[in-house]
Amino acid sequence: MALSSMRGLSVFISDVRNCPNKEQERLRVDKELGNIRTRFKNEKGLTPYEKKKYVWKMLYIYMLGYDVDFGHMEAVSLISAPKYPEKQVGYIVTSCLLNENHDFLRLAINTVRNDIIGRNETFQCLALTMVGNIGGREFAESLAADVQKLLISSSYRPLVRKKAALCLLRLYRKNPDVVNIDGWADRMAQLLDERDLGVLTSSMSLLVALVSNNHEAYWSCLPKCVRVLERLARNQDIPQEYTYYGIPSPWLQVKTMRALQYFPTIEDPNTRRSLFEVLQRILMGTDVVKNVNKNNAAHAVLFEALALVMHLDAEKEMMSQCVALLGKFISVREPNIRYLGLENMTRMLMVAEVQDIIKRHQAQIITSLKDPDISIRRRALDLLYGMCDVSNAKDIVEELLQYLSTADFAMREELSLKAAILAEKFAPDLSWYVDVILQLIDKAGDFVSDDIWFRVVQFVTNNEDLQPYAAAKAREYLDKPAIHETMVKVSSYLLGEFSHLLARRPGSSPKEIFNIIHEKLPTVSTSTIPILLSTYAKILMHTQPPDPELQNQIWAIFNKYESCIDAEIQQRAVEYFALSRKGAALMDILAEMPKFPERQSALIKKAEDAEIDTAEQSAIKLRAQQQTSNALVVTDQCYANGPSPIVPAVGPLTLVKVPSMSGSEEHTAVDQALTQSNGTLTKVDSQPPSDLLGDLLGPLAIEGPPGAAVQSEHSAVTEVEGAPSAVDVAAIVPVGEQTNSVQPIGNINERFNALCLKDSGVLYEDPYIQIGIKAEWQAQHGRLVLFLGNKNTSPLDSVQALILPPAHLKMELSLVPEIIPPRAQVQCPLEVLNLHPSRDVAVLDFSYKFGTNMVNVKLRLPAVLNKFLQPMPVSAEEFFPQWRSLSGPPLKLQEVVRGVRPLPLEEMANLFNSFRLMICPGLDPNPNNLVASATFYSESTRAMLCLIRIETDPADRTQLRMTVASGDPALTFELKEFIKEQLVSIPTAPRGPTTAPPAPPVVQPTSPAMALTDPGAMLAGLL
Amino acid sequence: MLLSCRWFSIEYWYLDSNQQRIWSFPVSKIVAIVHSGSTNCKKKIHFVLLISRQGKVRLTKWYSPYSQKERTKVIRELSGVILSRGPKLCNFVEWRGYKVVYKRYASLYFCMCIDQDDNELEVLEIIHHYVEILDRYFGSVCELDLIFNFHKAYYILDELLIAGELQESSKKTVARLIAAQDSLVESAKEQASSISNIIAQATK
Repeated sequence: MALSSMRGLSVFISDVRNCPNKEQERLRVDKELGNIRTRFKNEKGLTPYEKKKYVWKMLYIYMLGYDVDFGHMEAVSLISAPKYPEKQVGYIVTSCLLNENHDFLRLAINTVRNDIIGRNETFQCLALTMVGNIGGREFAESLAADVQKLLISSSYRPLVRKKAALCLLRLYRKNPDVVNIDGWADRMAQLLDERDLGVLTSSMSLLVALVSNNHEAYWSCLPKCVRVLERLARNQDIPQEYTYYGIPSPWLQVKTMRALQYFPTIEDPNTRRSLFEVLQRILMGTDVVKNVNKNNAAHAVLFEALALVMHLDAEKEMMSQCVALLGKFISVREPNIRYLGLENMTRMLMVAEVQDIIKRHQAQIITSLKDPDISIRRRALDLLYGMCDVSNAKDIVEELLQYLSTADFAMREELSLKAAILAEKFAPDLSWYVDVILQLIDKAGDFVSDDIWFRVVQFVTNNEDLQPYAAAKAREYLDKPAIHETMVKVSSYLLGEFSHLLARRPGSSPKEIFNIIHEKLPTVSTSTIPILLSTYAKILMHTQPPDPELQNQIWAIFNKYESCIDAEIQQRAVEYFALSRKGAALMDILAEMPKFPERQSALIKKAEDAEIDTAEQSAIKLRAQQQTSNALVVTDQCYANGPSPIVPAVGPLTLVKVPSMSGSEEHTAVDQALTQSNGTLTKVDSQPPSDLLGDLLGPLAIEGPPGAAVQSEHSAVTEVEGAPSAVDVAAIVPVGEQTNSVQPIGNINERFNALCLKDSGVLYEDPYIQIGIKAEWQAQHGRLVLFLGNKNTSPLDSVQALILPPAHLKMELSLVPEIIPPRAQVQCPLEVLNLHPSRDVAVLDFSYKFGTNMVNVKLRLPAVLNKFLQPMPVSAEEFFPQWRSLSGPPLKLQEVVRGVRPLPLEEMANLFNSFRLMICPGLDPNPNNLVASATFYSESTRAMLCLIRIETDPADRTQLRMTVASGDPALTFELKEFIKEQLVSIPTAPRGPTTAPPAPPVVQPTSPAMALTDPGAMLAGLL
Repeated sequence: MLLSCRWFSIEYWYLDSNQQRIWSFPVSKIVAIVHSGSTNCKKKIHFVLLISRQGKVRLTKWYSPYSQKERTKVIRELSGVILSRGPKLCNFVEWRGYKVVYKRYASLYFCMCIDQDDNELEVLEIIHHYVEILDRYFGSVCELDLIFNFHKAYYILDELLIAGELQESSKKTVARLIAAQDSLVESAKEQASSISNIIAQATK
């Protein structure tokens, strides 16, 4: 059937299809691309038909997976063709080839706009479709108003209006400001009265997006949604063409129920009643039918109804009805329904009162663990994990263990992690926990991460009753012929520590233990040998009276490894050999490991991180937060050094009785944790690292604008009428006035410091208002948005925000409304331009009135020096000529900095990276030194490369030598001072409430004796 | 680009009073989304893929911004996952924190990628709805129709979905609109050929 008689295109397609192999295909495609390229080059000779044909060919080639890096212009230019056929092709191909960030799209904005506001309906449709599919931010700004007009005007036909609705939805996603809430809510409500179901469907999608961001404004839509749903569910007045297998538009039903889920509750009793009637009808009236499509559509509606019922917190009766339904679903034959049954049951776990009913289905869920479909198995695993508690932990964990040996590789890691967590959380007794973990290692050693066996060692060390049992178990496993290396690690560690407790049992004399462990040595990798060496040393120590034969054997081993190429092994061998000759003193040095401090399980942490990847259902999180084990204490204690608790099992010093852990060990582990949660080390805006750094940085020295800058601001500010008097240079506002009435929530300094390292977060919060900030930095420009959120049910008025910029920043704050409506959030963009390098900080003077309370706060804005840096990797070839050419002061400054907070090198590197100074490893041959580089942007310097070298002294970490170089003297100086501030005297993590932060190193001369704990006072002092 | 994000509704902000967790979702997810320049608005379908049993791509439509590289990667990964699934399994695959709803029709797999918490069956029926419309248009559609008339498949998809959302659930309406488009193209062609006839006549 020749629908389109584009012969050239058809010929090309058949040619490609007839290619016998990939190579031939590539040749044919390359030939065609060459042809198109030449044809496009002398565009003059192209007829519209030809142009169309080539553009289609390009799309086809693109679809085959080849790069098409030219001809985009031709595709875009077809959009402005006067005739429909060309225009249509232009629009479609453009929207397939380009994505919203493409520069060429900008060229088309005008044409597109003309088509949208023009009178030609078909052109309007084409333009709306393209903008709806790939419209970006610029489209949002220039077209939103026109699109809105099309949507609400009844003079346009439904085919235009439904496209306009979705087009507006797209633009709204790109920039929520395009929909003005005040005016739009009523319009939206009117749109829900629409009779045409096409327009109604599209409008409902728009509503879902709107209420998902802000339901408050759209309360008036709620009853209308219920009415739409009633109309559909009762099949009243639905045209035949809008029923799908006898079901009135299942899609519209689903969407409407989705929209309803964004309203926290339904207060009006009548609306609520009619909604529940409808829901009841859906829940009860849906049967499994033969026709697949009818079945799917009906169940799509049913599952959405279930979600809505759950959201609305229905009575228990209805909830149990839902669970009963789900129970039925998880045992049906149809795999989709089974999958969704399990998935929704997992969601149901959130409802506390039905958890017991869900447990009744445990057997069936366990069966699903053996389903042929991995998607279903995953759901079953998730559900079992979520529903596990003390009452059923034993059964579930044993099932998981059993399943482990047959499970597919893709699931084993997750499975073993989950089993380990459950065993830890819900262990009825500790010996069972040890059993489970050892079995886990035995069955799936490859999938058991180190965290799991570290954890078991922690528990055994901390529980004396458990030690003989664990040692005996470990001994048993060693008898097995082939055991996993992780098993070798854990059992030799346990036996080294506790085998003396077994001494009287058969086969457990020190000698026997040594022999059986030593048998494994040839089979293990270098990472395990150090653990074995430690075990030998321990065995030697426990053998009293000494057994000369054993001693000689072990000494021989130490001797052998004294020249091992692996430094870790070598060091241990040398040290242990020397130590073991010390006789009785050995007993003290190699005594049992002290107990580990209680800490949050690394596994649970890991599971939370894993959520990021697998986006698991909230059940895990829910469990992790709510339930604590009854058997094992898992305290949620903070520890200063990082998120990942590590057993110091492989550090050279571990057998020596030192309670603190070996530093480097700890930090590599922290790094691992970072890598796990972030993918890369450099993204520091993820949670754990920023916390880490936040802790380290503590309250930094405050530095406000220097006197001169304040002067100029002052004069600028006084021009603004009604500006608060607080900007008077001389006047230090009494502390009481600011802080008595309203206490900020959280530490303002900490918030500021955190924001210096990341680009979004809360700047300030008190009981009435929350000020959030989100920033984007590009070269010397910054765009910040302040989010002023009124937390109360009454408006905040006399809102004033004033920016006091330092001399080097040009800042422009958009208009801040005087009143923030109740529970609303206002967004105020703030443009920043960096004129020249300086460490001064801009201040936001913010005031509002709540009732009769006048609140005034001054907040430093995180538009700090490091924000204008861009990490810049440099190679040795680039670095050294630059470094040499910047020969000395003032372009290159060097300073020995003392009183540095001792940071391990990795941490210091992280700190630099978080300030966007990119660490370039390998440039400096000395491993104790760091080299970092970045590009700094400002109006005066433009893009300027900055090079930094830090030389640390491993013997004394409190001092270092720093060299900073750049092409601008001011920049070099400012950057040097900036880094110094970050490094010098950063107080240790201020955990205890009593530890007052020490005085900042660079105190403002004007505010010598400020109460540093009060941020209000600090700021007041500045101004 | 970044600022085009709709951040977070005010409820989410309240979750945080000591800066532990502002976001109600994992932070690294935001990083990813911000990078691709999109928003945290609820989004329906991220992309539509038609792949043949041999792994050849027959149609792609991206509603979320993906770079060329990402597109290729997504297609490669997904065809691996989906084509290897046996029959009689469920129509959903969990993939990189998303869900892919797919259905096989003869030699073609229709796939749509959605968020974890979207309604899977609804999307599955969007796929079927699309297939029915194609079927009606081509008269018992087969893979060859979609190969040689791939542009038609795009036209029809555009009448069905915009911005990853369903815009029309009536097959009749879609069929009518497509027919109207076809006739517009036809009449333009006739016009063109009659003009060229006239020119040919005149220059004889």
